[in-house]
Amino acid sequence: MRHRPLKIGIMLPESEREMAGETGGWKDQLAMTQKTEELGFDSVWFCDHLLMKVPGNEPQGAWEAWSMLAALAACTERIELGPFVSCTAYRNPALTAKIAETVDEISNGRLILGIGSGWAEPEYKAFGFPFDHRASRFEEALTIITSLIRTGHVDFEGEYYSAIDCDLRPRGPRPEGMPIMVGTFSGERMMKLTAQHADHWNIWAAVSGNRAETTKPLMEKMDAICESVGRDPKTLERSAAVLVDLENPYGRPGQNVPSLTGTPQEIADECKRYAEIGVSHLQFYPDPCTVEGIEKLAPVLEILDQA
Amino acid sequence: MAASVTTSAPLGRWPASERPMGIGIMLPLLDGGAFGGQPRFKDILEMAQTVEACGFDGIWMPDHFIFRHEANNRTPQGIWEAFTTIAAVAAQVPRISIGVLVTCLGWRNPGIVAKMAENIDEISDGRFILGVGAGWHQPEYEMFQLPWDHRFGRFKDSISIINPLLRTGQADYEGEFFSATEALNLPGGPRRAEGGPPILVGTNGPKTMRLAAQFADAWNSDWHHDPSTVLPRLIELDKACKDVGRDPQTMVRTSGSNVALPGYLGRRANPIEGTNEQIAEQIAAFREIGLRHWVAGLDPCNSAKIEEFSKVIEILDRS
Repeated sequence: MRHRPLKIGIMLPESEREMAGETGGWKDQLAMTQKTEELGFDSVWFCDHLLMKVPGNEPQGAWEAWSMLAALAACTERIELGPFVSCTAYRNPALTAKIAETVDEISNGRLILGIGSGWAEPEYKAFGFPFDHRASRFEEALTIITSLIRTGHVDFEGEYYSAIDCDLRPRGPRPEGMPIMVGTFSGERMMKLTAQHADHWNIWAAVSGNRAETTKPLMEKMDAICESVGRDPKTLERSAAVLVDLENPYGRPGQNVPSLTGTPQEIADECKRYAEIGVSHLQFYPDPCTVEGIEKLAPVLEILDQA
Repeated sequence: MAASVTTSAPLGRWPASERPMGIGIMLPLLDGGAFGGQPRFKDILEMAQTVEACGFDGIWMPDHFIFRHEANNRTPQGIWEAFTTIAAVAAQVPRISIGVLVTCLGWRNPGIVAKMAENIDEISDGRFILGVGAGWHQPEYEMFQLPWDHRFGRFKDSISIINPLLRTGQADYEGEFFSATEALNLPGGPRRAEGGPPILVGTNGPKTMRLAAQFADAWNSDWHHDPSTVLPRLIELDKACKDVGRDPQTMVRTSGSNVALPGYLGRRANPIEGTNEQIAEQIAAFREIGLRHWVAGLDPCNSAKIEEFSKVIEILDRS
């Protein structure tokens, strides 16, 4: 093992009816996570949503990401865990840093702190969050979070968020904090903030098209943005979410790009193409998203591990 | 447990106990608190497992972001985040009630608080207790830029949203500080049909007591050396219940005491102290005023001290 050309993670079904039509409760999320670890995957991911509303569909609630990740961290030993991605609009940014540090402690250094600006307007409206100036708000939140995570301290007064002479204590197992991953669509401003401040950039499936070939132009765009802000593009880790359809998929409400599908060999070949263009981590979102669905993806790992 | 001990049936959503007054343990999450130095997560988990193994009725954790006391030269004292720590402990400790004592409602969006409560209730299979309050330690408000003004108004708006989100799964409320518009708390946890996890309000103020009477299952009156300082508040609580048309008998009454054990660090002020028999006698006095649950703030607090303290409770159980 460990000829694996890139890490492969699994996205858990956080929302109602996402587990092949069923709602995965705690025991299901735990079983899927333990299966993911047992089969040798590299990570599990949990979306940070409150209430999804897709036109023409019943509202879909979701489990709260951080309490779920904290509990999953306590019940696993090896795999990395991350929110996919924690919306900076939903919690005080210094609190987000504190939560992340606590989950890094619980997991003994296995958290990847995924953050983003959020996008699902109905849940902002339902819970009373401001939807305006999302990128500007994100920029301020990012300043507070990166400073607290990397140095343990911040003193910042912004238009939307502030933290004054604020300390992040205690520190978790990593003195310089966990990696910070920013999830974006293809907007230049968010990509530029990522290039300036993040350790890791994540590209959502609908934007990358679930294929290496359609991800490549985005990678080149990010390389150029990195160069424009004076960052060596090679120092920015890249990951991409990939919707993977297995036999008898349940279907995803609102999906607008075709999933990756095929034999384990074909899926593994596509993974290798992602690695070739510089993606070092993929988040598979299997459909059906069940223990069996995760098991069906294990042969992909076997092929990838055979150099 | 001795045959003479009466048990207590569930009161509303509050869990049953083999004791007339349940005994909870406050776990120290704070650097330089009753643990001594900084407890790591493995220390917290070990203490929680000891609390369960010793047959206590509840594990409690505080919600703070940082302490910086003038008396301590404003040296920052760190603390782990409450909800994620509780979620992780709940996943590893299978039987005992586990709660936050208390979360400050001005610090998080009320929908997020309700969703975390529902989520931890799911993880714990119905063992979570959501303790809420208005906050008090001003330095953490400054550092994290949390709003210090209108703490009562923020508390009122927040509990007006959290209560229906847990009880019915939905909320529509327009407040000055927090609002919810056709907000749904889904998925529901294991107690959705009975209205979700219990809500406890920690307060000694008459205005907030009325909100407790209106929205909460239980009330907590923080830390007391003896019951004489709790008694006038019980009268206030009865009055608050009557003011809002609630039968006072349906309100779960709780408080706590700091307890000095051998090796007292002086981190928890004004403690009960003495021999095991003397401490048990002082705790029995709280039982006599009709409290349903009492929380021990042990100093020092670690797994060995929690085990030591269980000897005190053995004496209490026989009395």
